[in-house]
Amino acid sequence: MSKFERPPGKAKNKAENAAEKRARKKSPESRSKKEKEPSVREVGRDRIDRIGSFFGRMKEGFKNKAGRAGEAISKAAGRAKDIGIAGMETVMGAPEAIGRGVEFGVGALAMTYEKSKDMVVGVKDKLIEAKNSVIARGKGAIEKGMQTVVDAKNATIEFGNRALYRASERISRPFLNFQNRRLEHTVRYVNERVDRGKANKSELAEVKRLLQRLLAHLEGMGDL
Amino acid sequence: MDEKRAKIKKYVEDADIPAELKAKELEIVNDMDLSIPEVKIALTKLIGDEFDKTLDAAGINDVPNDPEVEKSLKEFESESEAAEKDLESDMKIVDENLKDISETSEEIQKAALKAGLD
Repeated sequence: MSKFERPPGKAKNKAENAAEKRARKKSPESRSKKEKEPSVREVGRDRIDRIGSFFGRMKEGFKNKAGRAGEAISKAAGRAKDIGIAGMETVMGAPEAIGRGVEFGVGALAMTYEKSKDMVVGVKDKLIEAKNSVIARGKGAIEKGMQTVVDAKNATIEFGNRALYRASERISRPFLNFQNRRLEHTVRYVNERVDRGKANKSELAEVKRLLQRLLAHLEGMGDL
Repeated sequence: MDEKRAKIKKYVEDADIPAELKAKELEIVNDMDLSIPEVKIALTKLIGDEFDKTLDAAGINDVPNDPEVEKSLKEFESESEAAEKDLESDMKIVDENLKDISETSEEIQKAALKAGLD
């Protein structure tokens, strides 16, 4: 190795570092990186799209698991009825309680999220107790066990719906606020462009019309 | 169909947006309870998309940043992040309960089968 060659791992001198820094600064790659920095509108849109996908996954998982639990209850109730366990008529006669799944909008009902959460946390212990009881006592614990699973499913489905509603409600207000501010700011900007002669009045009229539609829509839905 | 639904449906139908998005939005309007927040979010997003499309068509793509808009974006981001975390934790409770419900039901089924054979 000549004395002009740098041994591997040895630090570069200041001139080399500065030259590389300049090259990086001017490289098309770094320029395009800067140009590609997402705008507020892109960040907002990306965020709401990701939330939409997240909600979709949560709902789908909830729906599938609630469906499977409903099927398990139906099968158990059917078997219990076959061997003459009392009370199964009531369970079987209420298929809506067994088959109940995701219901959009149920979160708007009177019971609060907190109360529903307390209830659903409370039923977990009852379920474990019922399961152990059925394992230990067999036939003698079936009737009570069935009632426990049906009650637990009702409370769980209720809470799942309420949690979904609550989350979307928490997201809707700040999103609506952001969208409203962004659109208003854009209208102001277009207005200034018209004043400077850089945009025509028809463009301003169009964005203003859309903003009015947004405001009317939000007002009609009880927001802002 | 109630008056509000018809009004919103007309709004979506008249919107200048891609057909695929329009079909998706119409599905929401037709199927969902309009009072739920998701409908508000979907329609507000639609209006924003239509708005942006109008701006793009007019060649206005250099809207400068605004501190108030950025602040509202930050609020939206942080609140949605917190809401997502809470929902994830709530749905974990739901999942565990549904699993316990299925397992208890299976035990009941087994006990009933055994009792039937005895």
